[in-house]
Formats: sequence, structure tokens, C-alpha cells
Amino acid sequence: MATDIKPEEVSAILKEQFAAFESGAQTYETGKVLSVGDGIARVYGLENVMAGELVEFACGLQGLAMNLEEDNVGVAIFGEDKQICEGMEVKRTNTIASVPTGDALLGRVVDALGNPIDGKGPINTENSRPIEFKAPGIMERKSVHEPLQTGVKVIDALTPVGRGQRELIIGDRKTGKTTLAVDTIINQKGKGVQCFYVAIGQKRSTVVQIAETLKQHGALEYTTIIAATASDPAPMQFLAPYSGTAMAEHYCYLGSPTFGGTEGVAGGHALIVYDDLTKQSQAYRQLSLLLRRPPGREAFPGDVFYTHSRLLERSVKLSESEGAGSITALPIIETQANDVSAYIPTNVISITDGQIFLESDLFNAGQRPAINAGLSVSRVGGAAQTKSMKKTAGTLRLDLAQYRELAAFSQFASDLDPATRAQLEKGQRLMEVCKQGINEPQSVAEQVCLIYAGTNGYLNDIPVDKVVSYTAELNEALSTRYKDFSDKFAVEVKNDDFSKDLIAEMTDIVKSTTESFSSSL
Amino acid sequence: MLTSKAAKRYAKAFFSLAQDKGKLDEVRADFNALAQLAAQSEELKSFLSSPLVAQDKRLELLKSLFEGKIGATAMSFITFLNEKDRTPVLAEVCEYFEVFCNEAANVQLVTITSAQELSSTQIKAIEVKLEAKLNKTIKASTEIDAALLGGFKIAIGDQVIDHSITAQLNSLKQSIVNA
Repeated sequence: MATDIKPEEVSAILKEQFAAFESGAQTYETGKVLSVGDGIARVYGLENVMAGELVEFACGLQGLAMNLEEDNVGVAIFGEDKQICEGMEVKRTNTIASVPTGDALLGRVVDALGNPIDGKGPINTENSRPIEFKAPGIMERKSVHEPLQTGVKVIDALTPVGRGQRELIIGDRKTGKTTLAVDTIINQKGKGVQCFYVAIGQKRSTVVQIAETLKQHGALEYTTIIAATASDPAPMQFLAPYSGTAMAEHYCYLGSPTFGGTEGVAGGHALIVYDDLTKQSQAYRQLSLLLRRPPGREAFPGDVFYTHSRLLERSVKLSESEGAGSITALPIIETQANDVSAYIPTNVISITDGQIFLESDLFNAGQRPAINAGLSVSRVGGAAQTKSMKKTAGTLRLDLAQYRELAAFSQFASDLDPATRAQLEKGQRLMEVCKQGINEPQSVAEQVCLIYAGTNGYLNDIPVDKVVSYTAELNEALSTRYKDFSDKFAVEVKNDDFSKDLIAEMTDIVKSTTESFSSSL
Repeated sequence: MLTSKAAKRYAKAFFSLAQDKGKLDEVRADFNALAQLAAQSEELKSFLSSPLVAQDKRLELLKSLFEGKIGATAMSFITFLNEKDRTPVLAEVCEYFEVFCNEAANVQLVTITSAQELSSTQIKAIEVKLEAKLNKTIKASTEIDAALLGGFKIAIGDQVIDHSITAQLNSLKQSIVNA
């Protein structure tokens, strides 16, 4: 192999490079470092620098001009500030921070500036987008109407997510927030949705685990991981969500003439997970305090609401004339002791189109995913729910609510009338129906059949602790014996239809599965 | 580096006052000498900025130091600064004064850094070009920096025109690495 390389070839290539190289005077604007510390440099000079412009230190590090003051510029440093010393020259780059975008990023792990950190070589793409971008206006938008299947039964049934929606996942630590988001990414396989997972302030080992999980399920090939881990400087953790959104916008705006796309081309769909925005706001708080911006509630700066609102406003469903692309966002917020009335959680709840509320009590009781059906809402997703699911799950929310009320009440009463007992029994089974394993997203057919069985009383004769194995059997039957039915179902879902024939067929399948399962007990 | 806002205000006031009195050149020369002195003498600097010296004592010392050696106008400015307890920024006031003088006279200071000493004709040639480009009178100072390898680098305030071999080698390196 080594003998194939000829010295002449090397010389020829170098010669080509030299020939193309134009030497000339370079003009640039400079400043000098006045002071440096805690990841912030104060720079004298840089008279014409723009807010948000990238600057370059003489040691090769880059920084972001954040504070433009009368006599100095506050620069957030992307790296170790130990390399920077007083009096060091700082150059303007004349560019607003931007990241590479396009297909070359799929399957890659990059940092907040789009540099690869997975050791798979450079990212070869000519496309790039500015990190900060103004969200589309009113005329370019359309209300959310297509479903984005998360593959998680409870979410798709009770708090459906549509393409272009922003659905918050909120809960304490260790309640399965990340798992829900990863499951949703896995479920996008073959659905033409590019996924972006932004890891902010997490452990590197966690990011590796997520990448591995995605790889195992064949989901990494359409996913980009943007990682600003706990050891990365605060400016990177602050910027990561914006860079991730810029990468997602590449697909969304493909067909949008207003935003640099090509007219007549269909826009793409993107899903972006911000895991989590609590850490991002903490990084921003650190940055702001070090830049001596005045602190407000919980020491967060005055514009912490705006950092999240301008980020989440970039999630969009574009109108037909703009190519009909979309960006769906699943921001994650970690609460302390289920306190949703803290500053950051209330902020993000008010910005998003609904929230999925996870509870540690439910999680510890074995109800996983630990979604609190009462507190979780989807404000716009109803319009995007598939017809079949809308019809089947219509009573589910009500049934679950009644069950919760009765369950609390029945703890005090010893003997109950038969009607109440029946309702309790049904509720217990429905709670079992809501359970789902991790990394096991389900198709619409599987979800609808099971919920249909639950809400219509086909599970009443099955013991509560057997419902989970019944679920497994039903899913198995749907993918083997009743494969034709599943295919037919998928077609109807695509056309947003739910015919009477299909319902009849579904009833037969559920009935026969229940019978065979009961007899095998 | 000039960073003090107070120094700028005082310098501006002194400058317009000196201009009105028609003593600009005299004060400018005095202030230049003062700035040079402050740059050379650590003792003077620490004396000016020490809060331990009482105002009247400082005035006495300042008088014994400068009286007779600098003009009456400049001396009165220094006395005024002392009264306002602003002697720590005296050196910066002097530097700002020079900046305002240059601005008023449409003079641009430039620093030409080169690897080897430039001949006076070479400097003159650069000056003429810059004058035509900037439409200002150019006052050039030169520096030698062997790390440039060859060529030169002109600093006009924050703007830098880099025509050195090092910069070109660096950009060649960048273009090969990024290719």
C-alpha cells in the first residue's frame, strides 16, 4: 500500500495548493486584552466590533463579543482562559458566529461551534448558518396539523405532539425525561425527520451512552448530537441550543424562498431535543454575572426569559408557500422536588405549547413512563392527532381522571358498590396499559388496538398483573398473524382515515387475542 | 492603553481651554514631557497615585518639582487636578491631550513594525501612500520585530495592515490545513 504513494504526486498536490494561494496584505482590526479571568476577557480597542461577533485571540482561541461598553468589550472565551494573558492581541473576524449545516452532520457528534468531537474526521460541507436567527413571522407560518409520532402510547394518546410544536418535558432528576426524548428520536426512523439532540451540561459518559443507544437502534444515521458537556466552558453550554437549532433550520428552510431556500422544493422536517434548558440557563447566569450584568430573580439576568423565548420561537411549522417544512422542539427542564413554580420552569411552561409532566412517585411505583396524565397537556397537538387515535383515546383521559379520584377515595371505604368497583378495576387496567418499556416505541396500530381493548372493557377478565404480558402478546400478534391488518392500518393513518371496516376488524382481533390469552392463563 | 473616563474628560476640558488661550503648543510640549517623565519614573507614578500623601503636601512637592520648568498654564492644570484628587490619572490626561491635539491637526499616528530596519526613503514611501489613503497627515514611529521574518506591519489605531512574511506563511498553512 505504502509504495503506491509517489513523491511526485505529493509535490504536484502541494504545487497546486501554492499556485492557488494568493498572497497579499491582510487588513484586520485589533484590540488588546485588558484583563482576563473566569472565562471572560475585557478587551480594549476593537472599535467597530459587532455584538455577537466572533473574535480571535493571538493564541488561536476564539471568543464571542457579548458586552459592548464605552471603553471596553466583554468577550466570552471558548476554551481555557489560562492561555490568554494581559496585553494579548485580539483580532476581529467580521463574522457572526455560525455553524456548518447539511447532510454531512448526520450521524456525527459535534461541539457548540460545529467542530467534530467524535474522531470521525472533518465535516465536509459548504453550507453554514448563523447561530442566532430571527424566527419566522406570522405570514410564513401555519398552525400545527401533522402528527409527530413519539411512539410512546401515553403521549400519543393524551398529549399528542404535532410537527412544529414545542412540547416541554418536565420532571425531577431520574424520572425518565431523556429516555422519552431518545425514544421519540428512535421512533422517527424512516419517517423523514432529521433529529438533533443537544446535550447541555451533561456528563460525557451520558452522551456516549445516548450515542450508543441511538446507534443500536439505527437512529444515529439521521441524528446529530450537539454536545456541550459539563466540562465545556459556560459560553459553549449557552450557545449549544442555538447552534443545534441552526442545524435543524437547514432542513426546515430547504423550500422556503423567504429564508434562503429554493421555491417549489418541499421543506424538510426536523426534531430537536434540548437536554436540558435548566443547565443552559445556569450557564447563561454564570456568563451574565461575570459580565457584571445586574442579577434578578434567583440571580438570573433580566433577559433569561428572552434567551428561551427566542430559541423556542424558532420552532415552526411553515406554510405551503414556504415549503411546509417544520422544526419540532422537545425542550427538557429539570425541577427540584416537583416544584414547577420555580423561575425557569414557569418561564418555559409559558413559552411552550404544552408540557409532559413526569413524577418520581409514579416512577418509583413502577408506572413507567412516569407521566402524570392529569397535569400533562398539549395545547395544539389535538389538531395533529391521527383520526384513529382521537376516536379511541377520547375517553381515556376521562377514565384515568375518574380512576385517580376514586382510588384516593376508596382508600377510606372498605366495601364498595359494584359500579364503583368496576370503575376501579378498569382504571387499574388502564394504568397498566399506559406502561411501556424503554427504547420500545410502538406503531399507531399497536397503540390504538391496546387502548381500544382497555377503554372498551376487553381487558376486564385479565388479571391486572397480566396486562403487560397481554400487551406483548397483542403486539406480537399484530406483527405476525395480523401483519396485513397492521399494513392496512398504516395506510389509513397516512390518509388520516379510520374506516368502519377497520374498526370491525380491530374488534375481532382484540377479541380473539383476549380469548386465546385468557385460555392460556 | 487609555482606559480612564475621567482622564478623557479632564484632557478634553484642558484642551479646549488651552486652545482658547492660544497656548496649545506650549501646553502640549509640557504635557508630552510630563508623560515621558511619568513613563520613566516609577517613583513619580507611585507618588501621584498614593492616597497616603495629603493634598497640600502633594501640591508643595508638585510645585517644587515642576514650577519654573513648565509653563504657567500647564502648572495651573496640574494644580487643578491635585485639588480634585485626580493626580493618579495625570499621565493619562497628558496622553489624551496629545490624542486631542493630533485629532485637531488631522494627524494620524501609525506604528510600522518591520523585521529589519527600514530606510528613511522606505518609510517616506509608506507615509505618502497612507496619507493619500487616509487623507491625513501621517506621523510614523518604527519598531523592529525579527519574528515577522520579512515585510512589514502597519498599525493605524485598531486597524492593522499586515504585509509580513509570517502572516502570509500562517495563511498558507491555514489554506493547506483546511483544504
